[in-house]
Amino acid sequence: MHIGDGIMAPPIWALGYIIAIPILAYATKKTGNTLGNTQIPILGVLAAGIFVAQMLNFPIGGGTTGHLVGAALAAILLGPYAAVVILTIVLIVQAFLFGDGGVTALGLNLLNMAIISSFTAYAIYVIGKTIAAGKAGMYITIFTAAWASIVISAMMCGIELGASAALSPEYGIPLRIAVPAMAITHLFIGIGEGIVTVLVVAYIAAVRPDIILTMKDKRLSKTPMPTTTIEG
Amino acid sequence: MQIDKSNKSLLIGLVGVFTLFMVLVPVYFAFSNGLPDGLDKQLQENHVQEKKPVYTPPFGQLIDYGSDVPSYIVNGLIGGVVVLSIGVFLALFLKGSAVTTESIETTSKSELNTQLRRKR
Repeated sequence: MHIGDGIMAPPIWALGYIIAIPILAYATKKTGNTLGNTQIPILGVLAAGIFVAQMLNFPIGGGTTGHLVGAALAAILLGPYAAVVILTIVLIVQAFLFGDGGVTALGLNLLNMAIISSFTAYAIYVIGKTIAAGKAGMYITIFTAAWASIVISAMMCGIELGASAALSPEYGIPLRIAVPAMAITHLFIGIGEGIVTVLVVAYIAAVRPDIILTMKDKRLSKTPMPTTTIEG
Repeated sequence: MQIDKSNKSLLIGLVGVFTLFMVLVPVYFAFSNGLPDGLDKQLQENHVQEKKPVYTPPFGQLIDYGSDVPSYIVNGLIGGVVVLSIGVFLALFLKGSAVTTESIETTSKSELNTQLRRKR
């Protein structure tokens, strides 16, 4: 879902930066306030894991592939603000070191994959957690949060493509095509995201439940959960 | 940050992630390499051409991560280590700044209380 250079109309990619930068600044400040010493190396390892996972596209059929975004995983493990910071680091390194995602489109890529993905996943996870019953309910919640984070951010990307096409036919894809096309393709990619997120959270809940900062219940593990909470 | 038991388990986790990555790269090359992702597919179907990048990465050969398994693995590991380093240093910096701000606020409050006590 990395947008390259020259796909979006200049006012749209400029708007991406204008919206993303203040949110990133706030998320960075909040991360400093909420991260404990234990979470610092976890943030680094998680960022490295998400970086390499994003390099491994998986086929979804019809000659299309998808890759893990990892925002849901990061948001569930360390909270939404740290997730935004992690995805920002990954996207900046991809753009500036590897040319994956355009530099002009970086603001939009940050908005879609770092900000919208993380907050969508976290919102669904928090709401779902209150109504989920037992271990199965928790895993369904995590799957749904990860799946929805991909579909919503893909639809946002579709809206950006549509807005670009509306501004100039040289850019983007008409809205009536872009939004449904992006949503339908990512319905399937989201399944992969959901499965991987559930597997990783289940593994961590089994071996190191103390590092899951956002979870204080015992539905996923018999081991005592951490007492640290996310502020704000 | 000491290398205690918990950091040791994270180090093992990191080695595990990188090992899994190295194992999965050949699988990626067998099934997915060269196929477009969701966005690229839509751009292709709607004949939208990605224009020339406005910025060229400093390491030309690193663009698109590499065209064969070994270079892909090497680039992935380089990128992973770069991301890991930035993540840890940024988190340490942010944590340090937050602690400093907190201590300044605490100090200011205690100084204020001392001054109030003196006035009384």
